[in-house]
Amino acid sequence: MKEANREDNNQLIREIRGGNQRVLEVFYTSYRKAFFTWAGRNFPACDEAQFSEAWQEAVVAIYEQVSSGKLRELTCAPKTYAFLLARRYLIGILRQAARKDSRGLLPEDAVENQLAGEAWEDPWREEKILLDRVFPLLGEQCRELLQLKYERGMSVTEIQAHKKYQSANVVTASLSRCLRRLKDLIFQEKKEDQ
Amino acid sequence: MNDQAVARIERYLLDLMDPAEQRTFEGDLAGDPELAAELERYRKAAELAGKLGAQELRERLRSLDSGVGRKTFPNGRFWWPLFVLSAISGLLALLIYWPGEPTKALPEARLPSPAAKTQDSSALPETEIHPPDSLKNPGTHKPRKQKSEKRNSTEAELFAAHFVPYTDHTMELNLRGRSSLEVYDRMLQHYRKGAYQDALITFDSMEVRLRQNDNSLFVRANALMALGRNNEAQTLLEGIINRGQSRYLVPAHWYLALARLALGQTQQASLPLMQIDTTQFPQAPQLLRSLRRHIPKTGGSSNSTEIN
Repeated sequence: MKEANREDNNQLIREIRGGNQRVLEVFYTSYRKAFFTWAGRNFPACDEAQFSEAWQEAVVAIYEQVSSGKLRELTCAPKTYAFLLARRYLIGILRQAARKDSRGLLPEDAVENQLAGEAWEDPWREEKILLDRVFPLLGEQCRELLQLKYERGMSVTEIQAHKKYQSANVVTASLSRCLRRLKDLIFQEKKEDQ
Repeated sequence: MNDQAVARIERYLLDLMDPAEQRTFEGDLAGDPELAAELERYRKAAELAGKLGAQELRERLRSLDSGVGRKTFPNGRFWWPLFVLSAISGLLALLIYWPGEPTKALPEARLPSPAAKTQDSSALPETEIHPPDSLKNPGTHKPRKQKSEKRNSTEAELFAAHFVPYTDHTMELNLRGRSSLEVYDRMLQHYRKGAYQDALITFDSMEVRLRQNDNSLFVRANALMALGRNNEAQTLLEGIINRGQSRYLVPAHWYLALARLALGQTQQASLPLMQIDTTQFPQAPQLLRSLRRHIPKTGGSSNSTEIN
Protein backbone atom coordinates (compact mmCIF):
# COMPACT_ATOMS: atom_id res chain seq x y z
CA MET A 1 0.00 0.00 0.00
CA LYS A 2 2.86 2.35 0.86
CA GLU A 3 4.33 1.61 -2.55
CA ALA A 4 1.01 2.51 -4.15
CA ASN A 5 0.90 5.79 -2.24
CA ARG A 6 4.40 6.63 -3.37
CA GLU A 7 3.37 6.01 -6.95
CA ASP A 8 0.32 8.24 -6.48
CA ASN A 9 2.48 10.95 -4.96
CA ASN A 10 4.78 10.91 -7.94
CA GLN A 11 2.14 10.81 -10.63
CA LEU A 12 2.10 14.60 -10.78
CA ILE A 13 5.87 14.67 -11.18
CA ARG A 14 5.70 12.12 -13.97
CA GLU A 15 3.06 14.14 -15.78
CA ILE A 16 5.09 17.35 -15.53
CA ARG A 17 8.22 15.59 -16.73
CA GLY A 18 6.21 14.23 -19.62
CA GLY A 19 5.55 17.82 -20.69
CA ASN A 20 2.00 18.00 -19.35
CA GLN A 21 1.61 21.51 -17.91
CA ARG A 22 -2.15 21.18 -17.99
CA VAL A 23 -2.07 18.81 -15.02
CA LEU A 24 -0.68 21.64 -12.90
CA GLU A 25 -3.53 23.91 -13.90
CA VAL A 26 -5.99 21.24 -12.77
CA PHE A 27 -4.00 20.75 -9.57
CA TYR A 28 -3.97 24.52 -9.00
CA THR A 29 -7.70 24.88 -9.43
CA SER A 30 -8.58 21.74 -7.50
CA TYR A 31 -6.79 22.72 -4.31
CA ARG A 32 -7.05 26.51 -4.51
CA LYS A 33 -10.14 26.72 -2.34
CA ALA A 34 -8.71 24.34 0.25
CA PHE A 35 -5.52 26.39 0.39
CA PHE A 36 -7.44 29.62 0.88
CA THR A 37 -9.43 28.03 3.73
CA TRP A 38 -6.29 26.71 5.35
CA ALA A 39 -4.33 29.94 4.86
CA GLY A 40 -7.24 32.03 6.14
CA ARG A 41 -7.04 30.15 9.42
CA ASN A 42 -3.28 30.18 9.74
CA PHE A 43 -2.32 33.54 8.24
CA PRO A 44 -5.01 36.00 9.33
CA ALA A 45 -2.61 38.91 8.74
CA CYS A 46 -2.49 38.17 5.00
CA ASP A 47 -5.18 39.04 2.48
CA GLU A 48 -6.67 37.04 -0.39
CA ALA A 49 -4.41 38.62 -2.99
CA GLN A 50 -1.43 37.34 -1.01
CA PHE A 51 -2.96 33.88 -0.69
CA SER A 52 -3.48 33.89 -4.42
CA GLU A 53 0.12 34.94 -5.09
CA ALA A 54 1.45 32.34 -2.65
CA TRP A 55 -0.60 29.54 -4.18
CA GLN A 56 0.50 30.51 -7.70
CA GLU A 57 4.13 30.66 -6.72
CA ALA A 58 3.94 27.30 -4.95
CA VAL A 59 2.59 25.61 -8.07
CA VAL A 60 5.11 27.39 -10.30
CA ALA A 61 7.88 26.35 -7.90
CA ILE A 62 6.85 22.70 -8.24
CA TYR A 63 6.99 23.06 -12.01
CA GLU A 64 10.44 24.65 -11.85
CA GLN A 65 11.80 22.09 -9.42
CA VAL A 66 10.57 19.19 -11.51
CA SER A 67 11.72 20.73 -14.80
CA SER A 68 15.19 21.42 -13.46
CA GLY A 69 15.45 17.90 -12.03
CA LYS A 70 15.74 19.16 -8.44
CA LEU A 71 12.50 17.44 -7.49
CA ARG A 72 12.46 13.85 -8.63
CA GLU A 73 10.36 12.16 -5.99
CA LEU A 74 7.85 13.16 -3.34
CA THR A 75 7.46 11.32 -0.07
CA CYS A 76 4.28 13.20 0.77
CA ALA A 77 1.19 14.09 -1.23
CA PRO A 78 1.78 16.84 -3.84
CA LYS A 79 -0.90 18.89 -2.13
CA THR A 80 0.98 18.78 1.18
CA TYR A 81 4.17 19.82 -0.58
CA ALA A 82 2.44 22.67 -2.41
CA PHE A 83 0.87 23.88 0.87
CA LEU A 84 4.32 23.83 2.46
CA LEU A 85 5.81 25.93 -0.35
CA ALA A 86 2.91 28.37 -0.25
CA ARG A 87 3.24 28.59 3.51
CA ARG A 88 6.88 29.56 3.13
CA TYR A 89 5.90 32.19 0.61
CA LEU A 90 3.39 33.69 3.03
CA ILE A 91 6.04 33.62 5.73
CA GLY A 92 8.30 35.60 3.42
CA ILE A 93 5.54 38.14 2.84
CA LEU A 94 4.96 38.50 6.60
CA ARG A 95 8.66 38.93 7.25
CA GLN A 96 8.91 41.63 4.63
CA ALA A 97 5.89 43.41 6.07
CA ALA A 98 7.35 43.16 9.57
CA ARG A 99 10.60 44.74 8.43
CA LYS A 100 8.80 47.58 6.67
CA ASP A 101 6.22 48.28 9.35
CA SER A 102 7.68 50.98 11.57
CA ARG A 103 4.38 51.49 13.42
CA GLY A 104 4.61 48.12 15.07
CA LEU A 105 1.40 46.73 13.60
CA LEU A 106 3.29 43.62 12.67
CA PRO A 107 6.14 43.48 15.18
CA GLU A 108 8.97 41.35 13.88
CA ASP A 109 9.11 39.39 17.13
CA ALA A 110 5.52 38.27 16.76
CA VAL A 111 6.15 37.16 13.20
CA GLU A 112 9.32 35.40 14.26
CA ASN A 113 7.38 33.60 16.97
CA GLN A 114 4.67 32.55 14.58
CA LEU A 115 7.15 31.37 12.00
CA ALA A 116 9.89 30.03 14.21
CA GLY A 117 12.86 28.61 12.40
CA GLU A 118 11.70 29.43 8.89
CA ALA A 119 14.16 31.10 6.57
CA TRP A 120 12.70 32.31 3.33
CA GLU A 121 13.04 35.06 0.83
CA ASP A 122 12.22 35.11 -2.81
CA PRO A 123 15.57 35.28 -4.61
CA TRP A 124 13.88 35.50 -8.02
CA ARG A 125 11.70 38.50 -7.30
CA GLU A 126 13.59 40.83 -9.64
CA GLU A 127 13.76 38.19 -12.30
CA LYS A 128 10.03 37.54 -12.10
CA ILE A 129 9.30 41.24 -12.53
CA LEU A 130 11.57 41.25 -15.57
CA LEU A 131 9.89 38.16 -17.00
CA ASP A 132 6.47 39.72 -16.45
CA ARG A 133 7.46 42.63 -18.63
CA VAL A 134 9.43 40.79 -21.28
CA PHE A 135 7.26 37.69 -21.73
CA PRO A 136 4.39 39.30 -23.67
CA LEU A 137 6.84 41.06 -25.98
CA LEU A 138 8.43 37.83 -27.12
CA GLY A 139 6.56 36.02 -29.90
CA GLU A 140 4.94 32.67 -29.20
CA GLN A 141 7.24 30.86 -31.64
CA CYS A 142 10.31 32.37 -29.98
CA ARG A 143 9.07 31.42 -26.53
CA GLU A 144 8.50 27.84 -27.59
CA LEU A 145 11.88 27.49 -29.28
CA LEU A 146 13.77 29.02 -26.37
CA GLN A 147 11.91 26.80 -23.92
CA LEU A 148 12.79 23.68 -25.89
CA LYS A 149 16.43 24.67 -25.94
CA TYR A 150 17.04 26.20 -22.53
CA GLU A 151 14.38 24.64 -20.34
CA ARG A 152 14.08 21.15 -21.74
CA GLY A 153 17.70 21.04 -22.91
CA MET A 154 16.97 19.76 -26.42
CA SER A 155 19.66 19.87 -29.05
CA VAL A 156 19.14 21.64 -32.37
CA THR A 157 18.57 18.26 -34.08
CA GLU A 158 15.97 17.27 -31.50
CA ILE A 159 14.16 20.57 -31.92
CA GLN A 160 14.26 20.08 -35.68
CA ALA A 161 12.61 16.65 -35.32
CA HIS A 162 10.14 17.86 -32.71
CA LYS A 163 9.02 20.92 -34.62
CA LYS A 164 9.41 19.22 -38.02
CA TYR A 165 11.68 21.93 -39.41
CA GLN A 166 13.21 21.19 -42.82
CA SER A 167 16.77 21.78 -41.74
CA ALA A 168 18.85 22.29 -38.62
CA ASN A 169 20.01 25.63 -40.06
CA VAL A 170 16.50 27.01 -39.82
CA VAL A 171 16.38 26.02 -36.13
CA THR A 172 19.78 27.58 -35.46
CA ALA A 173 18.88 30.82 -37.24
CA SER A 174 15.53 31.05 -35.43
CA LEU A 175 17.08 30.31 -32.05
CA SER A 176 19.80 32.93 -32.61
CA ARG A 177 17.22 35.51 -33.61
CA CYS A 178 15.04 34.73 -30.59
CA LEU A 179 17.89 34.75 -28.11
CA ARG A 180 19.11 38.09 -29.50
CA ARG A 181 15.58 39.48 -29.24
CA LEU A 182 15.28 38.33 -25.64
CA LYS A 183 18.66 39.81 -24.76
CA ASP A 184 17.73 43.13 -26.38
CA LEU A 185 14.42 43.19 -24.54
CA ILE A 186 16.05 42.47 -21.18
CA PHE A 187 18.73 45.10 -21.48
CA GLN A 188 16.39 47.64 -23.01
CA GLU A 189 14.12 47.09 -19.99
CA LYS A 190 17.05 47.43 -17.63
CA LYS A 191 18.18 50.67 -19.27
CA GLU A 192 14.67 52.09 -18.87
CA ASP A 193 14.80 51.19 -15.19
CA GLN A 194 18.05 53.06 -14.61
CA MET B 1 30.10 44.51 -31.29
CA ASN B 2 30.41 43.29 -34.88
CA ASP B 3 28.18 40.65 -36.49
CA GLN B 4 30.94 38.07 -36.53
CA ALA B 5 31.50 38.32 -32.79
CA VAL B 6 27.76 38.10 -32.13
CA ALA B 7 27.54 35.03 -34.37
CA ARG B 8 30.33 33.39 -32.38
CA ILE B 9 28.57 34.09 -29.09
CA GLU B 10 25.37 32.60 -30.42
CA ARG B 11 27.15 29.51 -31.74
CA TYR B 12 28.80 29.12 -28.35
CA LEU B 13 25.55 29.37 -26.42
CA LEU B 14 23.70 27.06 -28.80
CA ASP B 15 26.38 24.37 -28.30
CA LEU B 16 27.26 24.47 -31.99
CA MET B 17 31.02 24.86 -31.60
CA ASP B 18 33.34 21.90 -31.82
CA PRO B 19 35.77 21.52 -28.90
CA ALA B 20 38.66 23.26 -30.71
CA GLU B 21 36.53 26.23 -31.71
CA GLN B 22 35.16 26.39 -28.19
CA ARG B 23 38.67 26.49 -26.70
CA THR B 24 39.70 29.29 -29.05
CA PHE B 25 36.58 31.27 -28.20
CA GLU B 26 37.12 30.85 -24.46
CA GLY B 27 40.73 31.94 -24.94
CA ASP B 28 39.58 35.07 -26.80
CA LEU B 29 37.23 35.99 -23.97
CA ALA B 30 40.15 36.58 -21.61
CA GLY B 31 41.68 39.22 -23.87
CA ASP B 32 38.47 40.87 -25.05
CA PRO B 33 36.40 42.39 -22.23
CA GLU B 34 33.79 43.69 -24.68
CA LEU B 35 33.22 40.17 -26.01
CA ALA B 36 33.06 38.82 -22.45
CA ALA B 37 30.54 41.47 -21.43
CA GLU B 38 28.34 40.75 -24.43
CA LEU B 39 28.53 37.01 -23.71
CA GLU B 40 27.40 37.75 -20.16
CA ARG B 41 24.35 39.59 -21.48
CA TYR B 42 23.52 36.67 -23.76
CA ARG B 43 24.01 34.27 -20.85
CA LYS B 44 21.56 36.25 -18.79
CA ALA B 45 19.07 35.99 -21.67
CA ALA B 46 19.62 32.22 -21.95
CA GLU B 47 19.17 31.86 -18.20
CA LEU B 48 15.91 33.76 -18.38
CA ALA B 49 14.87 31.68 -21.40
CA GLY B 50 15.10 28.66 -19.12
CA LYS B 51 12.32 30.19 -17.03
CA LEU B 52 9.90 30.98 -19.82
CA GLY B 53 7.93 27.80 -19.14
CA ALA B 54 7.47 28.82 -15.52
CA GLN B 55 6.40 32.28 -16.61
CA GLU B 56 3.94 30.83 -19.11
CA LEU B 57 2.46 28.70 -16.33
CA ARG B 58 2.35 31.70 -14.01
CA GLU B 59 0.41 33.69 -16.62
CA ARG B 60 -2.02 30.83 -17.13
CA LEU B 61 -2.59 30.44 -13.40
CA ARG B 62 -3.24 34.16 -13.14
CA SER B 63 -5.77 33.93 -15.93
CA LEU B 64 -7.40 31.01 -14.13
CA ASP B 65 -7.59 33.17 -11.03
CA SER B 66 -9.23 35.93 -12.98
CA GLY B 67 -12.10 33.54 -13.55
CA VAL B 68 -12.46 32.72 -9.85
CA GLY B 69 -14.29 34.74 -7.22
CA ARG B 70 -16.53 37.78 -7.36
CA LYS B 71 -13.76 40.31 -7.07
CA THR B 72 -12.76 39.68 -10.67
CA PHE B 73 -16.19 40.59 -12.04
CA PRO B 74 -16.68 44.11 -10.80
CA ASN B 75 -19.32 45.29 -13.23
CA GLY B 76 -20.95 42.00 -14.02
CA ARG B 77 -20.25 42.04 -17.74
CA PHE B 78 -18.13 38.89 -17.57
CA TRP B 79 -20.87 36.89 -15.91
CA TRP B 80 -22.51 35.76 -19.12
CA PRO B 81 -19.74 33.30 -20.17
CA LEU B 82 -20.02 31.69 -16.73
CA PHE B 83 -23.76 31.49 -17.13
CA VAL B 84 -23.36 29.86 -20.57
CA LEU B 85 -20.76 27.42 -19.18
CA SER B 86 -23.01 26.52 -16.27
CA ALA B 87 -25.91 25.94 -18.63
CA ILE B 88 -23.76 23.70 -20.86
CA SER B 89 -22.47 21.77 -17.82
CA GLY B 90 -26.02 21.31 -16.62
CA LEU B 91 -27.14 20.01 -20.01
CA LEU B 92 -24.16 17.66 -20.18
CA ALA B 93 -24.90 16.36 -16.71
CA LEU B 94 -28.49 15.70 -17.77
CA LEU B 95 -27.35 13.90 -20.92
CA ILE B 96 -24.86 11.77 -19.02
CA TYR B 97 -27.13 10.78 -16.18
CA TRP B 98 -30.53 10.66 -17.83
CA PRO B 99 -32.31 8.28 -17.41
CA GLY B 100 -29.96 6.93 -14.74
CA GLU B 101 -29.85 8.00 -11.13
CA PRO B 102 -30.30 11.77 -11.17
CA THR B 103 -28.88 12.37 -7.70
CA LYS B 104 -25.41 11.03 -8.44
CA ALA B 105 -22.53 13.47 -8.38
CA LEU B 106 -20.78 14.55 -11.54
CA PRO B 107 -17.87 12.38 -12.73
CA GLU B 108 -14.68 12.91 -10.80
CA ALA B 109 -12.25 15.51 -12.09
CA ARG B 110 -8.72 14.57 -12.95
CA LEU B 111 -7.60 15.43 -9.46
CA PRO B 112 -9.78 14.86 -6.44
CA SER B 113 -11.60 17.80 -4.93
CA PRO B 114 -9.99 18.36 -1.57
CA ALA B 115 -12.30 20.86 0.07
CA ALA B 116 -14.28 18.38 2.08
CA LYS B 117 -11.24 16.62 3.43
CA THR B 118 -9.45 19.59 4.90
CA GLN B 119 -11.99 21.30 7.07
CA ASP B 120 -10.90 20.31 10.50
CA SER B 121 -7.27 20.98 11.10
CA SER B 122 -4.52 23.45 10.63
CA ALA B 123 -2.09 20.66 9.93
CA LEU B 124 -0.87 20.29 6.38
CA PRO B 125 -3.43 18.05 4.70
CA GLU B 126 -2.57 14.70 3.17
CA THR B 127 -4.21 13.59 -0.03
CA GLU B 128 -3.31 11.79 -3.17
CA ILE B 129 -3.26 12.09 -6.96
CA HIS B 130 -5.19 9.35 -8.70
CA PRO B 131 -3.31 6.82 -10.82
CA PRO B 132 -3.06 7.74 -14.50
CA ASP B 133 -5.49 5.42 -16.18
CA SER B 134 -8.27 6.04 -13.78
CA LEU B 135 -8.16 9.60 -14.98
CA LYS B 136 -8.02 9.20 -18.70
CA ASN B 137 -11.73 9.36 -19.53
CA PRO B 138 -13.63 10.95 -16.69
CA GLY B 139 -16.54 11.62 -19.02
CA THR B 140 -17.14 7.92 -19.57
CA HIS B 141 -18.09 7.21 -15.97
CA LYS B 142 -21.73 6.22 -15.81
CA PRO B 143 -23.78 5.12 -12.82
CA ARG B 144 -24.98 1.99 -14.59
CA LYS B 145 -21.45 0.62 -14.78
CA GLN B 146 -20.56 0.89 -11.14
CA LYS B 147 -19.27 -2.68 -10.89
CA SER B 148 -16.94 -2.34 -13.83
CA GLU B 149 -15.85 1.07 -12.57
CA LYS B 150 -14.91 -0.46 -9.25
CA ARG B 151 -12.98 -3.15 -11.06
CA ASN B 152 -11.22 -0.57 -13.26
CA SER B 153 -10.27 1.36 -10.17
CA THR B 154 -8.73 -1.78 -8.65
CA GLU B 155 -6.86 -2.41 -11.87
CA ALA B 156 -5.61 1.17 -11.88
CA GLU B 157 -4.48 0.78 -8.28
CA LEU B 158 -2.68 -2.45 -9.09
CA PHE B 159 -1.05 -0.79 -12.07
CA ALA B 160 0.02 2.21 -10.02
CA ALA B 161 1.38 -0.05 -7.30
CA HIS B 162 3.54 -2.03 -9.72
CA PHE B 163 4.51 0.24 -12.58
CA VAL B 164 7.97 1.74 -12.41
CA PRO B 165 9.65 2.42 -15.77
CA TYR B 166 12.26 -0.25 -16.39
CA THR B 167 15.96 0.50 -15.88
CA ASP B 168 19.02 -1.70 -15.57
CA HIS B 169 22.77 -1.52 -16.12
CA THR B 170 22.39 -1.91 -19.90
CA MET B 171 20.76 1.50 -19.95
CA GLU B 172 23.66 3.25 -18.25
CA LEU B 173 25.23 5.76 -20.53
CA ASN B 174 28.62 5.36 -22.07
CA LEU B 175 29.38 9.04 -21.92
CA ARG B 176 32.00 10.12 -24.36
CA GLY B 177 31.65 13.84 -23.78
CA ARG B 178 28.60 15.91 -24.41
CA SER B 179 29.30 16.74 -28.04
CA SER B 180 29.67 13.12 -29.08
CA LEU B 181 26.58 11.84 -27.31
CA GLU B 182 24.75 9.58 -29.73
CA VAL B 183 21.05 9.94 -30.37
CA TYR B 184 20.29 6.59 -28.74
CA ASP B 185 22.26 7.64 -25.66
CA ARG B 186 20.36 10.90 -25.57
CA MET B 187 17.08 9.04 -25.69
CA LEU B 188 18.25 6.89 -22.75
CA GLN B 189 19.44 10.00 -20.95
CA HIS B 190 15.98 11.61 -21.24
CA TYR B 191 14.36 8.32 -20.28
CA ARG B 192 16.49 7.84 -17.19
CA LYS B 193 15.86 11.43 -16.14
CA GLY B 194 12.13 10.74 -16.36
CA ALA B 195 11.68 13.14 -19.30
CA TYR B 196 9.56 10.61 -21.18
CA GLN B 197 8.10 13.04 -23.70
CA ASP B 198 11.60 14.13 -24.62
CA ALA B 199 12.69 10.49 -24.86
CA LEU B 200 9.89 9.86 -27.36
CA ILE B 201 10.84 12.92 -29.38
CA THR B 202 14.44 11.77 -29.48
CA PHE B 203 13.30 8.29 -30.46
CA ASP B 204 11.48 9.80 -33.45
CA SER B 205 14.67 11.55 -34.51
CA MET B 206 16.69 8.30 -34.61
CA GLU B 207 17.48 6.57 -37.87
CA VAL B 208 15.06 3.86 -39.07
CA ARG B 209 17.35 0.96 -38.13
CA LEU B 210 17.43 2.09 -34.50
CA ARG B 211 13.74 2.85 -34.43
CA GLN B 212 12.99 -0.72 -35.51
CA ASN B 213 15.34 -2.25 -32.96
CA ASP B 214 13.44 -4.18 -30.29
CA ASN B 215 15.62 -2.85 -27.48
CA SER B 216 14.84 0.74 -28.50
CA LEU B 217 11.19 -0.19 -28.87
CA PHE B 218 11.17 -1.59 -25.35
CA VAL B 219 12.41 1.75 -23.98
CA ARG B 220 9.80 3.52 -26.11
CA ALA B 221 7.07 1.23 -24.74
CA ASN B 222 8.08 2.09 -21.17
CA ALA B 223 8.12 5.80 -21.92
CA LEU B 224 4.66 5.50 -23.46
CA MET B 225 3.39 3.71 -20.37
CA ALA B 226 4.85 6.36 -18.11
CA LEU B 227 2.82 8.89 -20.10
CA GLY B 228 -0.33 6.81 -19.82
CA ARG B 229 -0.30 5.73 -23.50
CA ASN B 230 -0.77 2.08 -22.63
CA ASN B 231 -2.54 1.09 -25.83
CA GLU B 232 0.47 1.98 -27.97
CA ALA B 233 2.79 0.36 -25.43
CA GLN B 234 0.78 -2.85 -25.53
CA THR B 235 1.14 -3.14 -29.32
CA LEU B 236 4.89 -2.58 -29.13
CA LEU B 237 5.39 -5.09 -26.32
CA GLU B 238 3.35 -7.78 -28.08
CA GLY B 239 5.57 -7.33 -31.14
CA ILE B 240 8.74 -7.53 -29.03
CA ILE B 241 7.57 -10.78 -27.39
CA ASN B 242 6.47 -12.32 -30.71
CA ARG B 243 9.82 -11.62 -32.36
CA GLY B 244 11.72 -12.82 -29.31
CA GLN B 245 14.91 -10.93 -30.18
CA SER B 246 15.13 -8.27 -27.50
CA ARG B 247 17.47 -8.42 -24.54
CA TYR B 248 14.46 -7.19 -22.60
CA LEU B 249 12.28 -10.19 -23.47
CA VAL B 250 11.51 -11.16 -19.85
CA PRO B 251 10.73 -7.62 -18.70
CA ALA B 252 8.59 -7.20 -21.83
CA HIS B 253 6.23 -9.85 -20.40
CA TRP B 254 5.94 -7.99 -17.12
CA TYR B 255 5.27 -4.65 -18.79
CA LEU B 256 2.79 -6.17 -21.23
CA ALA B 257 0.86 -7.49 -18.24
CA LEU B 258 0.90 -4.02 -16.65
CA ALA B 259 -0.14 -2.29 -19.88
CA ARG B 260 -3.08 -4.65 -20.25
CA LEU B 261 -3.93 -4.15 -16.60
CA ALA B 262 -3.97 -0.40 -17.10
CA LEU B 263 -6.26 -0.89 -20.08
CA GLY B 264 -8.66 -2.90 -17.95
CA GLN B 265 -7.87 -6.21 -19.70
CA THR B 266 -7.49 -8.17 -16.48
CA GLN B 267 -7.85 -11.59 -18.05
CA GLN B 268 -5.31 -10.96 -20.82
CA ALA B 269 -2.97 -9.32 -18.31
CA SER B 270 -2.54 -12.61 -16.49
CA LEU B 271 -1.29 -14.46 -19.59
CA PRO B 272 2.21 -12.93 -19.86
CA LEU B 273 2.54 -13.24 -16.08
CA MET B 274 2.11 -16.99 -16.39
CA GLN B 275 5.08 -17.15 -18.74
CA ILE B 276 7.39 -14.89 -16.81
CA ASP B 277 10.66 -15.97 -15.20
CA THR B 278 9.93 -15.37 -11.51
CA THR B 279 13.60 -15.23 -10.58
CA GLN B 280 13.75 -11.91 -12.44
CA PHE B 281 10.26 -10.79 -11.41
CA PRO B 282 9.53 -12.31 -8.00
CA GLN B 283 6.55 -9.97 -7.65
CA ALA B 284 4.79 -11.65 -10.59
CA PRO B 285 3.05 -14.45 -8.63
CA GLN B 286 1.54 -12.00 -6.19
CA LEU B 287 0.24 -9.78 -8.98
CA LEU B 288 -1.17 -12.85 -10.72
CA ARG B 289 -2.99 -13.85 -7.54
CA SER B 290 -4.40 -10.33 -7.19
CA LEU B 291 -5.54 -10.41 -10.80
CA ARG B 292 -7.28 -13.74 -10.37
CA ARG B 293 -9.29 -12.31 -7.53
CA HIS B 294 -10.60 -9.64 -9.89
CA ILE B 295 -11.19 -11.67 -13.04
CA PRO B 296 -14.95 -11.95 -13.61
CA LYS B 297 -16.20 -15.48 -12.96
CA THR B 298 -17.98 -15.59 -16.31
CA GLY B 299 -14.69 -15.00 -18.07
CA GLY B 300 -13.69 -18.59 -17.39
CA SER B 301 -10.17 -17.54 -16.64
CA SER B 302 -9.92 -18.98 -13.15
CA ASN B 303 -8.00 -21.92 -14.43
CA SER B 304 -5.47 -23.80 -12.42
CA THR B 305 -2.43 -22.88 -14.46
CA GLU B 306 0.48 -22.12 -12.16
CA ILE B 307 3.40 -19.98 -12.95
CA ASN B 308 6.86 -21.42 -12.70
